[in-house]
Amino acid sequence: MTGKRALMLAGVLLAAMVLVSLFIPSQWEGVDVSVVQTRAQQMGGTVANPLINVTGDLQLFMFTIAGAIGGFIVGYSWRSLFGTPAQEQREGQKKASDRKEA
Amino acid sequence: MHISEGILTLPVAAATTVAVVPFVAKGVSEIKKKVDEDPAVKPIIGLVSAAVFVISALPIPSPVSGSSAHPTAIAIAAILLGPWAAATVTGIVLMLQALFMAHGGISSWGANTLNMGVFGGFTGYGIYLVFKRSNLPLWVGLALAGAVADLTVYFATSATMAVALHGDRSIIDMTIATFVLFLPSLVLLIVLDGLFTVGLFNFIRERRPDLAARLGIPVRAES
Repeated sequence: MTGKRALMLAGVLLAAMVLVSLFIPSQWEGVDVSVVQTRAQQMGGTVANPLINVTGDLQLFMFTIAGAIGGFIVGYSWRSLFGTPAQEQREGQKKASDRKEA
Repeated sequence: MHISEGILTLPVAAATTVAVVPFVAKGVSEIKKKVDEDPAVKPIIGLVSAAVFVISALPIPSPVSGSSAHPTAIAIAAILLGPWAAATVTGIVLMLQALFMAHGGISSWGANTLNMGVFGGFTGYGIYLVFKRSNLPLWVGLALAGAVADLTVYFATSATMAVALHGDRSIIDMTIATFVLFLPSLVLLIVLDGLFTVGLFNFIRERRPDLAARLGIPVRAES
C-alpha cells in the first residue's frame, strides 16, 4: 500500500467518523473523563484539579504563542525536513558534475 | 489514556516514575548520539515530537461509543526515532500536556509515560521489527504496529489504575473491566492509527529516500 493511498484512506475514515458523530447525540466526552475519571471514582479513587489550570483566553494565548514559535522553527528547518525543490536538486547535481568534469 | 492528577496512589505514582526514568534517560543519550552523528536529524526529531504532541491530544470522536479518544502515534514515533528516543519524546509531550492542557497530571506523569512511551512504543517497534526481518508484507506489520500499540497503551492504563485502586478486588478482573469500557471508543481509532502509521512510513520512504536512509528505514518499496 502506498503512503499516499494509506494517508488518503486515513483522511476519509477520520472525516467519516467526525461527520457521523456530528449527527448523533453525543458530547464528544473524552475517555479520559468518561472512563478514566469515572472508573477511578467507582473504584474509590479521587480526581484532583490540575496543578496549572489554564482556562479561557490564557489557553488561546498559549496555543497561539506555541503555534507561532513552532511555525518559525519548522519554517527555519523547512528544507532539511521537506527537501529542496526538484529543480534546485537537478541544478545542484549539474553543477557538481560540471565541477567534476572541470 | 491520560490518567488524571490525583487518581494514582503515592506508591504506584512513585514506582512508575522510578521505573520510567531509565528509559527516558537512555532516550536522551540516544537522541544526543543521533544528533552528534548527523545534526540534520534534529529538526526531524522536533517534527516527530510535535506530531506526537498534537495527535496524542487530539480527541477523535467515535460513532460507536458517542465519546472521543486520543490516538497515540507512538508506533510511528518509535519506528522513526527508535523506541528509547520515543520514550523520551513521550515524556516531554506528556509533561507539557499535564502542565498546560490538564491532560494527565504531574503525579501520574511516570505512569502515563510508562504506558504510552515504553509499553506502547516498544510493542509497536517490536511488531515492526518482526515484519521487517521476515518475508511478511511490511505494510501489514506497520498497520498492526499502529493498532496494537494503541491497544497496549489503553490496556496498560487499565492495569495501572487497577493496581492503584483494586483494594481487596482482583487486579486482573479490574483491569479487564476498565479495558472493556475503552474498547467501543478504540474500534475505529486503532484502524485510523494503523493507516496513519503505514501512510507516514511509506510516504517518507517514497518521497524522501534520503531522510528514510538517515532514519534507518529500508528504502526499497516493498508494498
